[in-house]
Amino acid sequence: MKNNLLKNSLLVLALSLSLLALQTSCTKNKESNDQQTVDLGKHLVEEGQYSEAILVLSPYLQNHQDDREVRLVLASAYAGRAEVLVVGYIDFARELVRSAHDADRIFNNRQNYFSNLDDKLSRDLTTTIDAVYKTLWKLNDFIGAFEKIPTAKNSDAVQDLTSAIYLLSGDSNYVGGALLYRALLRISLLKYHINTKYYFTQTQPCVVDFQILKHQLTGIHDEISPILKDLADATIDSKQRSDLTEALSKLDTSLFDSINLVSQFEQGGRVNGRVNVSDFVRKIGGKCQ
Amino acid sequence: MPVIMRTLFLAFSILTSLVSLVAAAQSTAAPKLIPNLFYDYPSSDVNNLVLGRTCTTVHAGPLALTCNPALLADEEKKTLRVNFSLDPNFFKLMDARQSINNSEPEPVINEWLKYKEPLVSQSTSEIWFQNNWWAVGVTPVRFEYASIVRNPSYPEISALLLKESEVMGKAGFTSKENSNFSFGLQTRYVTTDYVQNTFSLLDVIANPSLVEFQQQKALYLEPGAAYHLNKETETIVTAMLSNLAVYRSGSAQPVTGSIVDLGFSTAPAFAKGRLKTTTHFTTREDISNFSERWRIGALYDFGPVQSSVDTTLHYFGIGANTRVDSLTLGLAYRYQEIVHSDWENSQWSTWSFEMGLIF
Repeated sequence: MKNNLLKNSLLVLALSLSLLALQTSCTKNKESNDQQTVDLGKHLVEEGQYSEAILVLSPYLQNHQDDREVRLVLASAYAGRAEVLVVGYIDFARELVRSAHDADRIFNNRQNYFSNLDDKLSRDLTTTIDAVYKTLWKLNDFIGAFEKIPTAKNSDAVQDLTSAIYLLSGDSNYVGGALLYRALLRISLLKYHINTKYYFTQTQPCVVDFQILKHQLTGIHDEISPILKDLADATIDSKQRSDLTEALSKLDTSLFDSINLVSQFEQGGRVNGRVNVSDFVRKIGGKCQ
Repeated sequence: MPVIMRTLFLAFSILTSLVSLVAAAQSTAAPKLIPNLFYDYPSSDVNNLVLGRTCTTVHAGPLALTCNPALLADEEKKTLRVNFSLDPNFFKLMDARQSINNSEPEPVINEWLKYKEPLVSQSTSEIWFQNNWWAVGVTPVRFEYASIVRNPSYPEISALLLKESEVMGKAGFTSKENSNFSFGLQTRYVTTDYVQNTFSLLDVIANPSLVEFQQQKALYLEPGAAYHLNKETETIVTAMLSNLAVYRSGSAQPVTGSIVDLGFSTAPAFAKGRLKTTTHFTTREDISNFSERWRIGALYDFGPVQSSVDTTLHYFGIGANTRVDSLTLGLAYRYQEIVHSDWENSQWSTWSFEMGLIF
């Protein structure tokens, strides 16, 4: 009887040790080839080998369109190759999300510089130019320290940024950080375009062509709208999102109103589509070039 | 073998089987590429820090508290010890905390984004008293931190931060029927504030609630058993069940699952002392590589200096402490490689310092 109990005890112990050995010998993270591909891609991104990472992950994503994580990593590889890293956005990103608290400040800006003019046309022009510049100042205020935003340095980098944005637009279920990332990449692209395409912000235009101005304002509006939407949607906190949406919609409306105001002068008519604004430029402290 | 002993042995075997089954069913996802500090055996002594859970398989030296309560049964030691330990990364974390409190996190974030390897820090303060077969202790604060940032293009952070306080009591008994068999019980009441997550930096900016501390209070009952195969060479087979929570409140998920540590140790005479060597096996559920469940450790006393070394597949630790009158000083070095996959791995190493009083 005593020997049987001892034998049973030893048998149970032997069985339990065998069970332990069996269940621990099966590795929990048995990797498939797919997982190895993904890990290799992440490793290459980590090492800064962005081109190689793109070569590894692009075919994988073609066969796994639903893999949101890989889509994000691939987008970051393109952005990395364009030398646009999140590090460059850190303080900028914080300020963007907090900008909802400063919403009122954004819109307490420029006063009417031409209140002493009597001529109705001049006042209309003043209102239009003021609206445009107010919008641009609001845009600059909102973006904050514009020069701190990382951006593409050449056309190849622009292509990479565009590819990254395109990838992130391929999944409608992204939330939070992924949307914020897409917004930041779009801002980087906008900055590049502002530096290269939207020339009126680089010089103090003393002769404004309203057709060109309307075209460029429309272009900026088309680039800004998705940025504003992404920024609002990225905010998880419902109250912050609500505040941010309101502030951003005001900015969007302001820009849209500017375009409408410019439209009335676009087709010639009252000023033949062009006007000299040297007086205005001097009054705001600028110089004609 | 008396009936009660056989019954206890059978019960322990069944319990071990159940724990192994439960451990297999509850696969706790370990944080990626950083050490899973939740599973460290709580101790501030540098030699126990080096040994990790291997300390449950062997008698501690004269300056430390033996981990396995069953091994207290035959100890003759009356000691009161107050101990503090920390590492250089602790000061780095304090500087970072100060910067963040001053609303200047950008330099901190930029600095940490440059680290490619985990940042690990462990610091503890504790006081314990042992009177031969029983011991009590209090750990007012145990602070552990580990983090790693990957992919500067779209930073992903794995982080683990915990702050614990603990009250402990343990006792060991020798069986009257068989003096080779001893058993013991350790109880710990632990309050843990922690955060553990893998997240992208931009996700946290968009949703700061992702980094939210959770709290758990738990009462653990931790039995241990030991069988002396040879008292002359102190050859012992040991077993200990840890983190068996009989009460838990707070966060829904338990911080850790229960763990069984098995060991075989021996302490033959060597030079002027005893060289304690041990082979240790653990059922930690966060370890997937079978080879990493085995560890080999050794303790040796060079007069007033107690030293230790411990190693497993991807880990190496070495430490030593000493006593000068009532002052204790200690130093340890640990290195670990964490292999997540063929392409994802990390290495960390750190020095730990300890200082305290012993009476």
